Amino acid sequence: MRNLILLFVKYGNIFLFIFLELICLGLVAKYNAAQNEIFINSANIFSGNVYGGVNNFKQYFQLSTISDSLAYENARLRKLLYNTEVNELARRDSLVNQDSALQYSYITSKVINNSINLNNNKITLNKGSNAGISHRMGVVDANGVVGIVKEVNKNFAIVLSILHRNVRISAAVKNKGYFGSMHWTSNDPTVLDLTDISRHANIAIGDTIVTSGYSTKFPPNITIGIIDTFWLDQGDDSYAVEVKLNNDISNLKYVYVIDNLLSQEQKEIEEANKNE
Amino acid sequence: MNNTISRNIVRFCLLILLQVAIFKQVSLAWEYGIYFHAMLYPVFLLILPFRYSKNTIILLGFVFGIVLDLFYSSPGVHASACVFTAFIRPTVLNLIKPQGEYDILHSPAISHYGFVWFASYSAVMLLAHLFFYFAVEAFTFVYIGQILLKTLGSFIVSYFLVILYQFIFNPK
Repeated sequence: MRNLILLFVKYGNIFLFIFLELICLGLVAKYNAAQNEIFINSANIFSGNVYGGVNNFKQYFQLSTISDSLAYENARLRKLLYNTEVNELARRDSLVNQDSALQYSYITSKVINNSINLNNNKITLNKGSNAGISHRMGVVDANGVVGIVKEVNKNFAIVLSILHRNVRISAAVKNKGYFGSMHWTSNDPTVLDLTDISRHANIAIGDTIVTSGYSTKFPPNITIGIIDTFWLDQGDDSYAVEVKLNNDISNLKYVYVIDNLLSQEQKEIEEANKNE
Repeated sequence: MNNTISRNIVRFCLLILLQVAIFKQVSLAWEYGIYFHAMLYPVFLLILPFRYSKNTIILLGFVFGIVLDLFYSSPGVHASACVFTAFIRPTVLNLIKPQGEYDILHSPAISHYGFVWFASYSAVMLLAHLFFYFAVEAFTFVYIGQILLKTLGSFIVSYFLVILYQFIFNPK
């Protein structure tokens, strides 16, 4: 203890210097927009690389499950591919504008960091703007919706998971057409709340909830989950619905980032007619 | 004793006033001003009395820098450069010793140790200060060329001002 005090006495000015310098640099990084951006980007590159390393190591132990899921995924994609071929063939001699034939393109990406036990959970992906990912794109996996891209740099992307308090996803009841908004309010990572379903709606436990396609982020009819319970609070004119998620956010490996090629067009026309 | 403290307080205010009211405006008004920041204020740290302890000088540098940052609305940039300058001051003083030893009662000023000594001392300190300042301002070494260019340009202007200041006020 005495030695420690002596150390502080002897090198006090160095400690003071480092301490004040850290405060200064903290201030610089926090309150100056340009420097703040540089700081966040460098921090993202650094943390992204660390998470990438950790993940590489972890993957050795998960190879068999991953190959299973990949095989399953392949089968699903092959099926899809077959279906699209049929569709394209059917269109070939019709007069449909070929430009609009492809509205959504998918960018596959690996999850390298994820959490489910916070209030605001985020996911890090190992691809960024270099792969074509950009701000506000939707993210799905093979079984359901995952989240919305918040921030990208060259090689990494931060996704706000659907288990984030600020994320709302436009959803609908499959084949019935009622739509509302999904939102995570519980602390259970397998359950989301669906609000704004009118009290006149005819819904039942077990109904499938899918994306509505009203936002530009997700195409319609991507499964989100099934209705677990629902009830009507006194005086409310809409149901409170709890939805059991179809996918498991705690066990994400590969996800697809959705690039809506027509989103700009849709937003422009909506924006232009906002005040009508 | 009281005399030096009040003298330093006056100098503190005067230098900040000069810096933000005149030199900052000049740099802003001129097209190439970003390469020629006139920075007189480091002279405050250069000529603090020998009697002050290292920690006092570092703390003074911090306060001085923060006050400047308030006027420049760039929290932390001047402060970090001032803290750095204050920190290296004793080392630089040791490296550039004049004929004989320093007198603990004096300030490291032109009136006590002559023009040649002060010119080399202030050159080293000013270069270090400016380089650190522009490095923190850029916050990355990617633009090292820019940083060095700014350091050099601003050094020419500021060095002239620092020497001029010494001749005008001639502090004891």
